[in-house]
Amino acid sequence: MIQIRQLRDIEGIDMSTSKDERVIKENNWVRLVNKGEKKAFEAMYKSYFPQLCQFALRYASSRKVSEDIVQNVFYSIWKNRKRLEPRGTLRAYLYTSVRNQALKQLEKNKVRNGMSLDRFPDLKDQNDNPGENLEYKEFNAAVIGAIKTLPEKRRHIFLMHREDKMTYLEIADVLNISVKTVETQMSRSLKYLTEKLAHFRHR
Amino acid sequence: MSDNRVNWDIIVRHLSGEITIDEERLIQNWIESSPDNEQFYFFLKNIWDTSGEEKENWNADTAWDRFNDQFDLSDDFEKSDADAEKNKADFKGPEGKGKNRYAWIAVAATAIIVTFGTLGTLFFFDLIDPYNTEKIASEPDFREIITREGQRTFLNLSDGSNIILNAGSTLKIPEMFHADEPRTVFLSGEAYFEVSEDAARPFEVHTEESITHVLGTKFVVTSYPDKEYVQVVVSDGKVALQEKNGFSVDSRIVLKNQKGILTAGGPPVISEVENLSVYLGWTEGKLIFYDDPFHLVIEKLERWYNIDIHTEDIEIMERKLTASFNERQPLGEVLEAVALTLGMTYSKTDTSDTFIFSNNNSHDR
Repeated sequence: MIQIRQLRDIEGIDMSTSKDERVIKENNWVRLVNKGEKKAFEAMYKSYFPQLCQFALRYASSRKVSEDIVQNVFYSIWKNRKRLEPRGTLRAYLYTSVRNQALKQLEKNKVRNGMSLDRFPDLKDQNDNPGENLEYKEFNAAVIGAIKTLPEKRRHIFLMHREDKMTYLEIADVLNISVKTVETQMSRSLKYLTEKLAHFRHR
Repeated sequence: MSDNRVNWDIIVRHLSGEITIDEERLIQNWIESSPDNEQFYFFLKNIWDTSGEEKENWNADTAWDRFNDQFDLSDDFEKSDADAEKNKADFKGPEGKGKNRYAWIAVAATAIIVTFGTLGTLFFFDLIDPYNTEKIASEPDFREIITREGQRTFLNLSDGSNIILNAGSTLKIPEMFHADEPRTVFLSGEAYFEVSEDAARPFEVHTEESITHVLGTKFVVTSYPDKEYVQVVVSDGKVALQEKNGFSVDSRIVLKNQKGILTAGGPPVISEVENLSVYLGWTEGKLIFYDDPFHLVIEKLERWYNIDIHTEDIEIMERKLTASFNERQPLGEVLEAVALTLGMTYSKTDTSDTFIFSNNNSHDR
């Protein structure tokens, strides 16, 4: 299981670099983008596009909508590149922008359709890896399924930490809540998941 | 964390690595206190490590391409370190003799030059002699930037203005723009300007015969020595066009989507521009003809590709061409298309860069 986890980590961006290195690299991007360096902007874009889309999809109704949201966020960054000055980390800034945009989009849809917003996109199992053993796959699927049943806000926080690898501080920043709240929500989530998955414990 | 009860807050702090040493000790003690605790701990850790969601596939490369199609980023110039040097260049100036030298080198570096495309050959200007600080500091120095035929040059100025110098042109710009003085540049040939607004320091483009006064705008000035006129086409904002050597000090305003033409002795003539891209296309590496007579086509092609075109048929000179080419198209393809469109044939001479165009009918085939 540990091996698989590592593979997942490497797929993500910057998982292999330490936090400090990432922050230094991102500060550098911001500085260059301020000056209008398109190369730096492109690097920033390509590095963040997948994870931001993944994040947007938690709010949006479809892949297309998530991509549009992320594209618009990047466009407004480029347009306002001289004024790009994240208060916290660039990552927190990007996630905040995507979230705001996604919420705006949701609000629009709500008015138009008058329908429930808590639609979670249908996710197919795309990572069909025949090398994984059945037991792990089953456990993995159960964990992911259980996370989906978390209350919405709690799920967002939990996934931002576990999937997006954000720090408590960054999550607090993006969601505009206290670090203490993030921490509390994280432990409630883990407690909930442990209970939900109890039947796996003694296997 | 005694008696087997789990403190979830501490567990989570431990798992996410945001834990104090004291708390970590607590956790270790709790884990080691019973096999059941240990088993439970690894169960929690498994859940924690497995947590996530199904990942969709997102292709950043194709998204980036789409992004570039959807939004016009190229509209903006690519700014370089020029901005960073701005303060040095504009406000600091030379201080002491020792520092002086470096300050001036920095100023020299504020004109960042990039040529592009297959036509562009990298263009360097002489760096000032870094040891000759006396001379440099004593007189207002101008830097001369020359593009040969078939070459274009991007310039980022210290004030944030951008210039693209077209083929076969010369631009003289001061080493630095001083505070409270007009920003004056001298042009022979053709250049596109995007001037950053600065009310205290108006921007002036001087040619042999004209002065164009600017305040934050985008425009093209054409003043090739072999032409008898100066042409200014404005794509954004407005400029004032003024004759230089005549008696008239009157200037005429050229607005967005207008062109002003100044011929010797007369006042500027202003007219509307139907198709801006004809005048601006070259800044994006496009060669655009819009109802242009063949003699003008020849002129542009010669400058663009650094070739010579001859023709003995006077009558074909007035045939009009509307066409668009980009710099990646090979010369042969472009000449072929021009000839075909205008009902001509062309042939290459022994000297590699000379081509002869003639009327189709004059050749019996």
